[in-house]
Amino acid sequence: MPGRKGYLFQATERDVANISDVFSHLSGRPDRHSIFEDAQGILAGALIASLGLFFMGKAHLVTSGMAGAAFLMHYASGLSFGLLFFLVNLPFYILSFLRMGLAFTLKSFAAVAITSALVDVQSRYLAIGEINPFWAALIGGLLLGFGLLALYRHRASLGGIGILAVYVQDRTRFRAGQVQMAFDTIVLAFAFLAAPLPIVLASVLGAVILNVFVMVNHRSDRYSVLR
Amino acid sequence: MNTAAPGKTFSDYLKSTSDKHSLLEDAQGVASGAMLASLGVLLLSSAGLLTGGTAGVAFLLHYATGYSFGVVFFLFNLPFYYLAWTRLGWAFTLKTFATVAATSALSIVLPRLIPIGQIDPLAGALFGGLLVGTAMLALFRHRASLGGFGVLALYLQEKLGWKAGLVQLGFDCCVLFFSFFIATPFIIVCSIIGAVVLNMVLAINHRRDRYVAM
Repeated sequence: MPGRKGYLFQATERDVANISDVFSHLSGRPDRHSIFEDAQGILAGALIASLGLFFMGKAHLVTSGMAGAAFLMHYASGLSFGLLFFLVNLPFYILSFLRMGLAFTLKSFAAVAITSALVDVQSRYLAIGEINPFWAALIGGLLLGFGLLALYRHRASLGGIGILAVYVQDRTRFRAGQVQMAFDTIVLAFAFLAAPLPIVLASVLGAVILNVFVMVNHRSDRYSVLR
Repeated sequence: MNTAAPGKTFSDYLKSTSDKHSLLEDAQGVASGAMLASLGVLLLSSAGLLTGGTAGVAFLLHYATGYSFGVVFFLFNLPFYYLAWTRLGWAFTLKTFATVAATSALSIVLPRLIPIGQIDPLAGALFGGLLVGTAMLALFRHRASLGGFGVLALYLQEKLGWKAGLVQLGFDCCVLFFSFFIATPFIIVCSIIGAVVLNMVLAINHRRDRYVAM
């Protein structure tokens, strides 16, 4: 290296600062997640979410958001849920990149990819029998809620409709919440056409549990990284 | 006994602020933590795995005697509430009691509601450890716990000067030692992996400086 003849390693002040920067990426300050912390958060969130989706799928439920749309296509076509969930989320990454930035987009892509892959292989190492749709809705909604909460706190998501909703709010007079609700209503309407009433009711219950759990617990004023 | 703090009305407990959970928020935190924990316990027990702490002892007794995990776990935690009450206060103790009671009850009914046919021990360890770890994270953030041994370890540290971490380690080693009598080496290795996952989730994510609400 020019300017440092005679010394193999002579740490300058700037080098020391750089080294401590590297270590801060591992340990993490209170107001920032390190890369390692984000990685474990996204992995844990995706694992828990995939378990929740697995339970919902076992009872033939739908849920809110793009996962709900993927469930509908899965039941109608017989294609695997994981593949469909991965594919229906693809268009949204462009919007996500434009609006939410590169880091959010990459983390969301990783979360969706891991979740999709895991939901598909879950039955290879976890075999469960008949499950009551209401219990599946409770447990699935709660697990998906925990998974999403972890992802949101690490500034990631499970892709999809939320990003489009924010985009539409910016461009039109519709609000993000209205877009999201309209989408969920359409998913439920299709479920009404295809599924028996108890399944639809259980799906609504699961979606309510999921959304109430995230609403109560996702508070950026309590989690210093999000402040 | 009037356990409420003086000058506090009931509506104070329902107020939610940035640095304080309301009663309802604590209730949903305890309920969902207990639900997640019992789901993790179901995955661990379906694979025949063990874990650390009082849950580990309950698993040992459950596999050795055939009594249900829920009953053993509930009973084994009873002596520790006295210590918790005197050392950590009534709010922590009541929330912990509610958590342990709910987890015990759910552990008894969940196997009937979710009939798990077969589970790979490694997957059971990974998912079970992850779920119990995440549940404990939620409970700790709501100032509750899954009961037991930590309180005794803290007490011994204060009374006898034994390091709490070492006491806990010794306790878990005892559980591990006895598990050799009832489990195969493969199951024990998987159990250790599950315990590592559980404790990693807590060690990385349980930070008072990040989640500020009490």
